[in-house]
Amino acid sequence: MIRKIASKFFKFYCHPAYWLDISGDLEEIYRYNIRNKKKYPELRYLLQVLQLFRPSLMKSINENSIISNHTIMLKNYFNVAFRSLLKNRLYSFINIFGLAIGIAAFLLINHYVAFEKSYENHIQNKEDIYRVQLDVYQNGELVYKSSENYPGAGPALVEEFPEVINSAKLYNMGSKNNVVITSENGEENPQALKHRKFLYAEATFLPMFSNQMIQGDAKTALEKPFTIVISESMAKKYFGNENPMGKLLRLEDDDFNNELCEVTGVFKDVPENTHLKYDVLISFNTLFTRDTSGNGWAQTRYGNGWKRKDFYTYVQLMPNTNPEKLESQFVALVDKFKPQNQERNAKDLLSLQPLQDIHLFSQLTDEAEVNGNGEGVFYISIIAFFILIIAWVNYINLSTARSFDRGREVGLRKVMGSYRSSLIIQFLVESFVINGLAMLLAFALIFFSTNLFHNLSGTPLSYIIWAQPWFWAMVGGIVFIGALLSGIYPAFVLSSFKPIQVLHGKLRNSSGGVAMRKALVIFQFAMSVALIVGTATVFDQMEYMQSQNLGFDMSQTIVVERPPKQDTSRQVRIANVKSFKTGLKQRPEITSVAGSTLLPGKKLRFKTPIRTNLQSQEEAVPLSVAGMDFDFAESMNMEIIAGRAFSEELRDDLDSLVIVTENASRALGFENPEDAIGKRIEIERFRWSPSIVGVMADYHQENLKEEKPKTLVYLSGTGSEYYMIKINASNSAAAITAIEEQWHKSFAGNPFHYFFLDEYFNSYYESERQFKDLFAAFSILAIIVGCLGLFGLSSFTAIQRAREIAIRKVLGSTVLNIIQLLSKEFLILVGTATIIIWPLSYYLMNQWLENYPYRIDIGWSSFAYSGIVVLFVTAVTISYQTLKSARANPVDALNHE
Amino acid sequence: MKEYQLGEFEEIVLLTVGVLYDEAYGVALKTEIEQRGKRSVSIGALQSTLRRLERKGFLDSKLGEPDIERGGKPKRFFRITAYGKKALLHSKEIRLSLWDSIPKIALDCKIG
Repeated sequence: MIRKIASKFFKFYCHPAYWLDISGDLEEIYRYNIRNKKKYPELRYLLQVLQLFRPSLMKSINENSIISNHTIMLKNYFNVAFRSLLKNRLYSFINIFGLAIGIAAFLLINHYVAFEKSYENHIQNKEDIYRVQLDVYQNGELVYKSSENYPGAGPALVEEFPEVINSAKLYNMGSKNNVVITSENGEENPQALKHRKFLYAEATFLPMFSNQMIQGDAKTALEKPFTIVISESMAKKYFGNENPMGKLLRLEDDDFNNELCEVTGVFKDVPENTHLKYDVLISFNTLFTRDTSGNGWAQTRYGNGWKRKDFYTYVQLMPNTNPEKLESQFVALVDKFKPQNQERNAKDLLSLQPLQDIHLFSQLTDEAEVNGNGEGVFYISIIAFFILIIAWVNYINLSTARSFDRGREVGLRKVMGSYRSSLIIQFLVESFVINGLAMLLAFALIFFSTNLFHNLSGTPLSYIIWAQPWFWAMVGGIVFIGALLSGIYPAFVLSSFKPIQVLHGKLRNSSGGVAMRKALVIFQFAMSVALIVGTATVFDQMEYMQSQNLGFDMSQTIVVERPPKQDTSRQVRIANVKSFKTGLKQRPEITSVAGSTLLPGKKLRFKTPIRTNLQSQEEAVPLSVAGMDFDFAESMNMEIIAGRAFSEELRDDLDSLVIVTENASRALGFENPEDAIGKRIEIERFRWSPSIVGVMADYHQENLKEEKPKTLVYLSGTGSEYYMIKINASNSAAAITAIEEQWHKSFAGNPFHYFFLDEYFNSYYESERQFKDLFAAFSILAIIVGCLGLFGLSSFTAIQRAREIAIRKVLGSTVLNIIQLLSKEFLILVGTATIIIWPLSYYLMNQWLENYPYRIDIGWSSFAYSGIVVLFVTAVTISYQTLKSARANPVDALNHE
Repeated sequence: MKEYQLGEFEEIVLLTVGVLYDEAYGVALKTEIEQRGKRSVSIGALQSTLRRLERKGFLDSKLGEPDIERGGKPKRFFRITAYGKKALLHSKEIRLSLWDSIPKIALDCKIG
């Protein structure tokens, strides 16, 4: 069998003059091998045939070969393709340009999608690494789903389950903690920088996350206490060109921690596409040294306790472990380590989040950064396919519409003896040429729109489209699949003409072909309408979310965090804060200053069961707890609907009074806000029983993707963590200077940082904004591509009906009649498309809106828009051709014969 | 004298054709070179060299009788042409003159 195939192959390629005797030689060796019982004689034969496969022994291409005829015909097909492109330039332009836009849009969108999906790709064992998620329930009610976990969770998992190879714990993401790190090597002006992206990390972390070390050893760098590992760019910032190894950095935070650490490693900056971005890592063991009392509290707090839950915990599983199976055993694990849950009617659920799903699909509390929008990415990639398909449909429509032109060519070719198969190949080659040219033009479009696109999508410029292997795979795929998909139908239609009919000039479009074309136009415009409805809805929803009354006023507000470096004496601290506030209030640029422990936009993390003193423990409801200073509600324009706000004059406010939000008062069982005033409540957690002094209107603590919290507010006084500074609208630059001056006066030695509250709040809409912009941009592109096709189509109909129109005019039709005649057909098609797609897009958009607790109702208006826009655009598109042919002089058309 | 230039393998093939004289066809040449030269010869390399030498005029060939052992296909016997002989002599001369010019002392070394 092998020998047979091999000898056929040999005969196929071997030069005929050599074939006879060499094949004899092969045969002789083969028989010899069999006689001498050598192993695998057939394979040896094949091997020899392959060894003989060299140019000097092959047939020459030009001489007596069957290939040559094909090659010449192929060359001819290319020639014909280019000639027909040049002959009808408008048609070629529409086709190629439309396809190019479609392809470029498709590739760019996939660039964005690929980037969003490339998160954590740099980590070697990414498939086996999971973050341990914690869902906390109280009295059967979900309190929150947290990305952070108990310190004991990681060690317990490794201990109890052999499938868990390794765990790494991280503490104190910089966005929460308030840290300054200073270099301490006797410099005259030491660098002191405020840090956000810093973490305490266990020694296992560096190798688990495949950190590339420039200096130091990943395995051991974070083993000892008081060691610190920094990124390459941080090393540059602190030490310039000096060798950072062994240098000292001092960390100070607003919890009075003060730690002097030695640099034991430098790692390469982490890439953009990771959910966990850090530039400073301090050894986790440093935390245990905070236990100066010696009673071992740090071991519980940071080591293996199950009380506090503020540690990112990552575990690495054995390859091919089934995570679900493992997760099912976690309930027993929690029961073992947290038996007290039972009596408290609490429940903790641990689960495993695949590392690579975090960026797109995780929306837990205390995420390391605002994550991406997996659903948006999905919708956008559907649009990508829409645009590409619309462009291909254009090609199909235009080529079949041109059958009138090409029919005669086909007829003549058939008369001259062309097979149908060779005609099909000819038209496929033509489609291939057009798709190829479109691809080249698409490259140019991509090249020139790169910057614009990066701005729109938020993809970093360092993620270069041309350098991605998938890009080139896709390019190849699109050209070939596109050429086949868009070429095959026209090829069959065009090659099916009967020569006698076409050459006789009798060819009219077959009714089947016309119906197909109509169906395709309806399909194209249905997609366009769906995209317009989608865009309108997304815009409306975004507009709605950003214009909604939040329950407080965030305009003209500058936020500063409390200083990280503080005096240990409480007296001094109170004096400092006081001087800061009074100092600022005296400045004309500043309207008010108010402190709080909450920051609008940021989830309230702390929740605890609270009840009135008349309720039983089972009836306690979890409420969020936050602190505000006396003047916070007034300064932020938060409405007190019953009772009063905190007051600086009445002294007992500080210890015995709280304010609740309206929904919290309802949750506590008060029907009217007024009923709550003066009532006592019990907070077991603090062993505190304050009374309610006021009820505040509900407000949006977070962006509108989240529900309004049920909050209990205590008086934070000097314990405020944030200061909201309202400034005069007229001169924000002067205000900032004023704040900075006062900051340095009151909190010497602390670097000054500020941000605008509205910017911070709206940063949570970033992925929505990206989605909206991309959606809008590409919907417009899709419509443009569809219109290009319609323009081409209308011009062909106009040409085909030129004589009909001329005769109508001769017989007395007015220009208006003709315009009506020509437009009617297209407007009916587009109108049908609109009506067909409305219900589907209504359903899809409702589906999308389900994600938002505060959402718009889709009114008829966005449907009306979409219909009007599409019909208008259609009318404008075809008007050029209809007007032209309606106004043409009938003589020109009738003169032809 | 560029037209006489022979490659190493070409020269060996040419010489072996001479050695086998009447029996110089593909398989025989292959076994002969393999035995004498203690090397393995791929049939592809051998055949392309033979055809090249024939094209250059160093070899001449003719077909023999159909052979049942070979599936009814004939052998192609090769013979050295006069031009081929010239090329061989040329190459031999060059080598000899080179050997003669090596001073004795240059070869007076212990190998290994």
